[in-house]
Amino acid sequence: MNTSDLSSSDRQARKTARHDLATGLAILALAGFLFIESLDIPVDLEDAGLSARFFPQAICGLMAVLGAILAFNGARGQSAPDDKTTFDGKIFISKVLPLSVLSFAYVWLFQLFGYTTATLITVYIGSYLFGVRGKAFLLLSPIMSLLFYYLFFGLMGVFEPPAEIFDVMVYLKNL
Amino acid sequence: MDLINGFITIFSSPITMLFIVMGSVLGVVVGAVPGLTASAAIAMLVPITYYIDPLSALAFLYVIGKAGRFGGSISAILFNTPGTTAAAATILDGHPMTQKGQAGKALKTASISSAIGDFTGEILLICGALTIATFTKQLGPPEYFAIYVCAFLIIGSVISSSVLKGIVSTLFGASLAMIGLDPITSEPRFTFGTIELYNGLSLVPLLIGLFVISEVFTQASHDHSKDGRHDTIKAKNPDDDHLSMAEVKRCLPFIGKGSAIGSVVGLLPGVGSAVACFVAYGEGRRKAKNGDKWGTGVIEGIAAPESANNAVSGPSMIPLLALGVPGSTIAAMLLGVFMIHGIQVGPQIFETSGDIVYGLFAAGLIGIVLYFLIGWFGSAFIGRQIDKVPPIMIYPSILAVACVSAYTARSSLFDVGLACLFGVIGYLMRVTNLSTAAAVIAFVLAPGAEQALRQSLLLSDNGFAIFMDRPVALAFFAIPVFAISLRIYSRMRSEKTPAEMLDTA
Repeated sequence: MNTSDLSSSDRQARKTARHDLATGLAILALAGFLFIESLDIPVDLEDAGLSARFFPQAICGLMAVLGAILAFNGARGQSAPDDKTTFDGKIFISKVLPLSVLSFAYVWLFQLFGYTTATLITVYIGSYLFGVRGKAFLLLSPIMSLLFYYLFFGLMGVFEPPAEIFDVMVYLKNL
Repeated sequence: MDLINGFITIFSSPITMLFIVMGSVLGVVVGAVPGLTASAAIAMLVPITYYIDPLSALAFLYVIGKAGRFGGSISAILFNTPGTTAAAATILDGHPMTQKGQAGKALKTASISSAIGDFTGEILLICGALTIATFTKQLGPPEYFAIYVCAFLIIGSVISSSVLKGIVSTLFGASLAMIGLDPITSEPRFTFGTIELYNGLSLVPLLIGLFVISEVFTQASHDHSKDGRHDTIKAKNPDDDHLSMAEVKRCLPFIGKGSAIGSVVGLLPGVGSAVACFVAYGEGRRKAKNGDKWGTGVIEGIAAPESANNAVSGPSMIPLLALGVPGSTIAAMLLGVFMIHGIQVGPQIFETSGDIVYGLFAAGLIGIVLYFLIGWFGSAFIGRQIDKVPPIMIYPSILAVACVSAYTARSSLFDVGLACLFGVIGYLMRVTNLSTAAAVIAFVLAPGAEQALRQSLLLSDNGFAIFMDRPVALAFFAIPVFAISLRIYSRMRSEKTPAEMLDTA
């Protein structure tokens, strides 16, 4: 292994350790939050056997211990030899976050404008974010939206929820 | 006799047969698309099974899983990109053969090896599941709790590159399973005052979020601008597209060994096809007379890993059918389908729903024949068609279909929101090397584990000491301790990566 390889693997190990520190702290926080929540689980003290709290609290306890070990190892710059994390903050913000916001917006659009409008808009924006351009960009969204509509609501007979504001399919059916 | 009845059930139901054919085609296609796995396809299709009969539903998803494992080899051989992790070792000799103009021969080798490996695993499943179920009928709650703990720890310790992260992932999945009403006292737990959470988290949004939406996010983070069409190198002579009987005979010892390795690996919970294919490749190369030529494009280098990765399929179902404990993500999803249709999975299943189980076995065998035929005659064509569609056009549609699919299960927009949330969580888990598969398996296992522990303690006069009186339970507790110690010991002995181990094998 030459010097450049060594420094590159060293950089990767340090990056993984940093990510492990953050992951460990996140796990620790989640375990703490769930443990506090578990104290609200009602317990009948006269019940034989284990209470409804035991299992959730045992899981929280174990998660907290392992999260703390992960964070501690990360803080010391140690990680498992084959463990290479790939998180990149810039990519997350520029590419993954917009898409995840879009997926949540889809739920909201579905509620307000029904399936067709929501899917049409989501696939258009999703295609744009993925870099689809030209004729494919124009055609992909309407084709896929109608295809899925036919598959799920037509062929399978899934219940289509009424839109709260305006549903284009209801309008088209009434024409 | 029961298996023959299974075949009669399948052949007398055109709908079930149609779903098996669709499963074979869909599985091969999905497996061949880089980035899309059979698990993701099954996760998306689980809600559809609400609308069809249980046997058709189970057969459809089971065959997708089998065909998907084979489909991964198409893009591995043709485009140097494994369609699934199970085909990662197939690249080593598969793509060099394509570069030599022998893509047809390589694809046919993959087809026949996958089919033989899968057939071996399926026979082991048919013979083994009932035999083990006869034994496991006698087990009580303490033994079951020990089996659950064993499964948790084995899955957690082998599924990720870090034992710690693997176990954290299983605990995360188990914590999600605690949401909802307590199974014994019916007290609400972790519901945060939300009525939708009183029945617990549904498996469907969890599967779709962790396997499908997170994959779309992962693909979005890749740079697809360099994705181009792959040049196909035409065969220089007709023999390059054919696999002769002599060549099949040359591969048979490697297929046999690969099938045996895959079958054993399949029995272990959490150890999937990706491990089996590398173990079989390393072992095959070590024993082969032409071992020095492996990696340059030899058919034996395809036969060994392909037979192993498909042989995993059948045995990975044994823990599910004999114990009710899923050992793989696909088994966990199939358990979900059994539950959707109100079928109790466990050793009694052979008596209570024998027609469905033997129908499923028959469907598996028919599926193997179908994907072998598709692979033998059509894999090159499928590969060329997939190459024509840029991935950037596939993923926006998958995001939409995943959301609609999540809605379909319970006609609930809350579930769609949950799927999106788990999509983000799944992405973060993937990039930090936490295992989404371990989380899903633990989510399915945890309620059973809790119930078994609480029943054990109700049976006991001495609290946790009940486990000390049960030798079978103690044996199951010892297995993960031994497995984890072995892994830590081997890591301390050698810090070699799998690739380095292959080089020295």
